[in-house]
Amino acid sequence: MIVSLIGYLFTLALGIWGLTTSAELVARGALTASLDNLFLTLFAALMAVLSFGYLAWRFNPSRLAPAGAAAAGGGVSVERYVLPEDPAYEDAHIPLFNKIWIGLLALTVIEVVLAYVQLAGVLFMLTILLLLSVIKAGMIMGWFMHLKFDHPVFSWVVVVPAVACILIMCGYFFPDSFQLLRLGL
Amino acid sequence: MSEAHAAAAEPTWQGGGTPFAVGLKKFGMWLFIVSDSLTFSALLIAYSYVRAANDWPTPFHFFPSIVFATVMTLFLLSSSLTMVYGVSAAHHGARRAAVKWIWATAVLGAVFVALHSYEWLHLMRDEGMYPWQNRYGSPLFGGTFFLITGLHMFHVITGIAYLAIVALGYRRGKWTPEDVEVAGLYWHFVDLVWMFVFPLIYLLSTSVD
Repeated sequence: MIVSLIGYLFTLALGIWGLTTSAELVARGALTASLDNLFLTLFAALMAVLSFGYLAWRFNPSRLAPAGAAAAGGGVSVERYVLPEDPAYEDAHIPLFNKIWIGLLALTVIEVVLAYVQLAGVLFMLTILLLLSVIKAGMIMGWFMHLKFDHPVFSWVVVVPAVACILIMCGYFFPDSFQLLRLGL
Repeated sequence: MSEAHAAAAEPTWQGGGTPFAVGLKKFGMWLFIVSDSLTFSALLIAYSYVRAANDWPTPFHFFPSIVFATVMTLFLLSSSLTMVYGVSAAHHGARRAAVKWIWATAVLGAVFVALHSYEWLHLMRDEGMYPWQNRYGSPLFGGTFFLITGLHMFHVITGIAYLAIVALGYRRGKWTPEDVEVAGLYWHFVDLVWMFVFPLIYLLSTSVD
């Protein structure tokens, strides 16, 4: 109980930090002053949305059981998500898996053809390759790893860190490294 | 884990309730996958950083290097498909078929490791490319290549051992379909990492002829 309380307080604090930080940057007009500012604003806004979104979902009165907040627990009843032993679990059929496999092969072939054709610019190639890789990863995770048919929280566990990772990469690491390249170091 | 349904009625602190309504093994494997993907992300991001900041060599000729790597990728993708067949067969109770598909996955993975090792030997013997030196200009080229592909290959080898244990045990009735599925999750994760390693390390280093 106390652990949940600390968790909710932390989430609230994170949301307030996110809201005030992004609002302050925007109000000051310093949003586009630097790439750092832009990234920080986006990150803070994302944290605010996630934090308040989670709290709103958790304490949504229409979702809580008649007994009140304590009985809501994880929120979704166990019965909606069948466990592995239940024959209904394997609801994706083999033909669908074959189609996903063909799709993965096709995307791989497209990537290899791109490497052969050597499209203009490393940056463009990198973007397209990463985009295709993310799509392939999404397909593997969704169907082969069964994410599409599982409890949505698993998708969130994957999506949130991935988005944060990409933001940090594009906001901090790549500009840094291109700067190093330009400086000729 | 039909106890889970009954357990949901128990108070949480007495062992009742399954977090996120899945078996604990599956949940644990997902947590491991998230943490391991962070490891690979750290390496790949560091590699991307170093690569973007320097004049990076692009020595892999399309024939035969990239074609070879593409064949390796196809083997790994096929092993993912056979794994999915195996998990599906396990859930439908077809024990013998499931074991057959799990072995097929392990064999395809072993072919991947063999091809990869062959490529490594070729690079070291014929191209003079080692983790500590190479003749392409950037000293880190070999280091990053062997580290990232080596760590991935280590995961594949571990996965093959894991699949062998599951196949043997499942045949004897020691493991449940959930165990097969958890092994499948690990194997798909290995394939997932390769989906990123292949473009970033191989395709971006294709030589401009």
